[in-house]
Amino acid sequence: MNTTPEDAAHVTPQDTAYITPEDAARTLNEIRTSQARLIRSRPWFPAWYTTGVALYVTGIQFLTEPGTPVAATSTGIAVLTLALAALVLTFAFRTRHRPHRALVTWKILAIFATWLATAIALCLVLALALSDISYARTYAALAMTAYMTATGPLIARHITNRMAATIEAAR
Amino acid sequence: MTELDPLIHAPARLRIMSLLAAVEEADFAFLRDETAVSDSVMSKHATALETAGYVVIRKGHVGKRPRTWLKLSPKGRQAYKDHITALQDIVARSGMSLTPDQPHPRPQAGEVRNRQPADRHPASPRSTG
Repeated sequence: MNTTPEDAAHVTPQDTAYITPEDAARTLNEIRTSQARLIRSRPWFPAWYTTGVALYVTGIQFLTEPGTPVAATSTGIAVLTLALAALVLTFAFRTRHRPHRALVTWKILAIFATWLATAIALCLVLALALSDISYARTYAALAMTAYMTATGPLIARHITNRMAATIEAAR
Repeated sequence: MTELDPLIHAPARLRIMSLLAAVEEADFAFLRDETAVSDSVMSKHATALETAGYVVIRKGHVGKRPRTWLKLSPKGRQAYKDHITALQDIVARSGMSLTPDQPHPRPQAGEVRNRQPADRHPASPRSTG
């Protein structure tokens, strides 16, 4: 295709794609800064999600307490499972600007897994310690829910801060 | 050596690509606001990137409001990485540092600072199909 003088007059530096080292460095810094700011703007996971999952576990413990009528147990578990499904779907489809999976390194997963394991361990230890009383597992799961609600936002923020730091370190 | 991609070299497009590179997907309004462009300009950029196969556009609703989400395609992510690598190469060859607390070297007296032929990286034509 021939280029007319009119076309040539509209050629901009962007069209020819050249850049000085100074501009390249500035561009890279701006990219890293804006990416890090975006990642830091939201926690990795919303606290309502982990709290909701913990409440589901608590509900299951409550409904499976010995002596609970079978009808109540089965109905309750069905309702709770539907609520959990709604929670998961909401998380999957309504969470905005989730960090790209490339940022989820094994170190990030290790932090999350450690936090989760701590919550589960707390629940188990309490359930065993309170085994002499009724609804021991429910109380233990409630304690786990409280722990996850209190510490979840901190962990989620810590994780996104680490992700942002990784981006910034790539300079 | 990778070369600058003319399709994402424009500041607004590079900003869109870089934001999309950091997340799984982002909505149109957010990208428009972050890029500080109008709806129509953002729409043109999105369409150009989609035509090139760099971006996947998904339309849906949140409640009754229509929403548009964008995400990088694998081809777009690779193009973005290549472009970043090209920028890093330009900086590396100049001996400059990307660390903010290290001052960039100033050109010596008599040195031509901008747009030296050696600093130019004309982009190779790329398939946008």
